[in-house]
Amino acid sequence: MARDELPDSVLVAKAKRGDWVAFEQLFWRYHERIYTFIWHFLQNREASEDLTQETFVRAWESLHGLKSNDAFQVWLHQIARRLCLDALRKRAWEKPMSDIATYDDQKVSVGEVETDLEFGLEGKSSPEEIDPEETLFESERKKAVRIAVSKLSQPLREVVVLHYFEGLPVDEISKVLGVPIGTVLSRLARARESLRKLLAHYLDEVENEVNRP
Amino acid sequence: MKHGKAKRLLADYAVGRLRGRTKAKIEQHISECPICERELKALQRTEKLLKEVGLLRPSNPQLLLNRVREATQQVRQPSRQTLGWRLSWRWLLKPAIGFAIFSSIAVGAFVFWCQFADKPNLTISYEQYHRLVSWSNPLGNWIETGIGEMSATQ
Repeated sequence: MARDELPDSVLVAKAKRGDWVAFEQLFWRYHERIYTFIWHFLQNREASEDLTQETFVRAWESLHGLKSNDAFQVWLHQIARRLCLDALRKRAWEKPMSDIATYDDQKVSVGEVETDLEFGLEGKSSPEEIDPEETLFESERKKAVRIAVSKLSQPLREVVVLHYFEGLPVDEISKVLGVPIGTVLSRLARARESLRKLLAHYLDEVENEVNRP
Repeated sequence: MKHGKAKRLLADYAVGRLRGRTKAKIEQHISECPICERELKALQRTEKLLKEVGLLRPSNPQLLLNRVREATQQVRQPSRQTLGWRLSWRWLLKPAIGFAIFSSIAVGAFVFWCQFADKPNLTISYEQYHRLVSWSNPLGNWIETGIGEMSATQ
């Protein structure tokens, strides 16, 4: 079994013994998820990269505190979430309230989001990885979805990112957020309802694609 | 189920939150109501849109990993030995807190007892008092009793 195919629990056990290579494998496995999660909190490339770095540094430092090696992913997200909330609190304290592009009051600086996405931060960023069949329209649509998601309130946005973008099951999301499964499902339902209105224009196109033979 | 209620519950149904009779009722309603059926399909298409968005990628993951490595070298991971030492002393914490609480209660009780306990009768006569004072400070006693003044006038 190749090293990168090893389950989390084995890699975490090795990393706990000080094996940096095992920790590197965990980094490669989760850095995009953590970066995506953080980006949807902060909506700023540099700040998100800094916080992703901080998340992995904290994880390395406190790896011995992780009781169940299988729960590494949930634990890593919990660290990232705490750091994001601290950063948002700090940002709210430093900037006057009128200047903040917060999520809670739904004042999102869409321009900043677009600029960040223009940087080629979409999943397939390097030229050789770009699918030639992927049309400009598709990437526009993805961008529109991200902007719509960024307009959601923070509790709704984080469940959407964790469930739809990262593919985390509902029970793991409830552990990350520390809320019951019913609350996660309720937030998902409310989020999807809001997004259905925000993305009304794109839904017809999806329907056409679905109906296409 | 009425249309208004079904519309409110539609999003919950789409994420699989409904169970039992409510679920059966809403399914019955959707099969009869074209508006709700259309709305449910729209919610399902929204899910499809969301699922195809995927993950974002940092601008330079290798650089990010290097930064993590540098930062972790500065603050080293606590070794198992250090952690073991910390754990070996951790058991002392609770007994120490217990001992501190017990000691403060005991001291408090002793002070309280001293305040209200029957004190021995320490009343002494005037003569005994002056004997005591003269023993500790002869000159003071002399002045206090007026002997000095008397001898000066004489």
